[in-house]
Amino acid sequence: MSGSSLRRRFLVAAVFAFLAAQVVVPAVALFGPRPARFSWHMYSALPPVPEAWTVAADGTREQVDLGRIFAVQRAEIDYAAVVRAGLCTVVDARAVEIRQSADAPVETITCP
Amino acid sequence: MSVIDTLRGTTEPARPLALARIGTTFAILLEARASADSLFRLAKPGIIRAPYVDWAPEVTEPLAWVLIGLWVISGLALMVGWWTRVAGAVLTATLASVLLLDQQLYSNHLYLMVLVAGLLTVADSGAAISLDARRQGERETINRWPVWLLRLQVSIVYGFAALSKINLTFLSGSVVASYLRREGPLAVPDAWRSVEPMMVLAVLAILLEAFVAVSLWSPRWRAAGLVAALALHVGISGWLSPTYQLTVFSLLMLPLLLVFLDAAPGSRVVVWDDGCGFCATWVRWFRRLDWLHALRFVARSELATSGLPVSEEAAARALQLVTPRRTYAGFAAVGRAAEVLPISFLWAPLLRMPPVAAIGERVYARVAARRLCSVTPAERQGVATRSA
Repeated sequence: MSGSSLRRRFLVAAVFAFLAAQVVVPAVALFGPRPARFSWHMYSALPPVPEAWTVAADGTREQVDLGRIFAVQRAEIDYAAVVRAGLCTVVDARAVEIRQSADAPVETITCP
Repeated sequence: MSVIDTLRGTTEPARPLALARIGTTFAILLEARASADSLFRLAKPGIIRAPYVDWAPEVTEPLAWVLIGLWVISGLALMVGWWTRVAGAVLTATLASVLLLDQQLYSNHLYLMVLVAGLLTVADSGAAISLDARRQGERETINRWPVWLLRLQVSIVYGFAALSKINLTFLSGSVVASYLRREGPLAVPDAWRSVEPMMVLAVLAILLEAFVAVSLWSPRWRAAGLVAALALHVGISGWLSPTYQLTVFSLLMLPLLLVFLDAAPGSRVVVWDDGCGFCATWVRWFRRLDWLHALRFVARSELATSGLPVSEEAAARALQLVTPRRTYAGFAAVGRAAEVLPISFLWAPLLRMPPVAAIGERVYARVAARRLCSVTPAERQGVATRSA
């Protein structure tokens, strides 16, 4: 296969891959929760307001100001997963509790 | 033969993309300020991290400085077209790095900036109006396929933005109501945020975005699509919050609409009366603002040898604009010429609408009847030289 033919095939493949990603990703995301990343869901829904609490050794609960511990609060972030992975490292607590939105259940994560 | 082969064999004028490069890169540079704030905040102790993958490097202050430095330097280089492809590649890589470092750094317009910077790089956007073009010589045309991808990207953004808003929450008007500005001279009072007007605004937003996505591809509807895009962006930048981010998004999108213009070099011929000082002034301004080089100027005294379908009498009566489809006269000619000028292409189609067109024609006729038909030899020579 000549160099130019190979280059042409690579170009066609790259363009179709780009197009497929640009169309398929947002098309699939239309069937999921909003907003989703890489899908152009700007201002398409009201972002959930997550809440978190620390639980001290004596059992007292204190609400965490997420605006203080997150650099940027984005609606696409799975706060439960992020808090599960990292909140214990930035606060001094026995456990942390997180609620993704007002109508979601509270999840308790025990700090190591 | 694939679509790409077909597109590879054809070309596009280089100047619309070059101007789009300058405009979009300006927006990308403005975005650096907001992303720098987020990056440096992320580097602070006590801030939680949300990387997409465990092996993503930690955001530190030195890394933030490096990324913002690369962003600004490569952005400036791309804007002026200095080592355009290298600058574009570095900028694309830098923006993608920032986007993917942490979930908190994601934004739709940063993602769009990655794609646009990449496409500007591939599309050889430095072929015109650039330091590279000054050094190596400006090219009139570039490959069509990357420009076509850029057009498609614009439609994808507007199209999916419209489709994603078709949900009960958005259609209820609550999203629009919560994002309307509460401060500043354009603040919307709470009393106006009632259900009915918010629902109307929500439906209007979806229709506008969908119309822009589709109409830009149709020669018949393109002008209306450009006006709709301008209205949409003025609306969201003026009345929604956060203002800075939405203004940057608008400044990113609007220059990209230049690549939809049907503005091949010299494709529209302005026939003007070189015995008239007033006309000479108009033509001088058109010439200055014709950054796409879409206009060609033919003076009435040169009409006989031009082969254009315009009589000397018609040229003496009013300015004429000859397009591949038809000839326009007077105010209509001024309006149609303005539709290929980068500073007016978004709003000039409004000049076609009633009653603007009727009033414009009347004013033009009155001015034309009273115009001072005396032009100095120096003026005539000056315009004729630039028309050549």
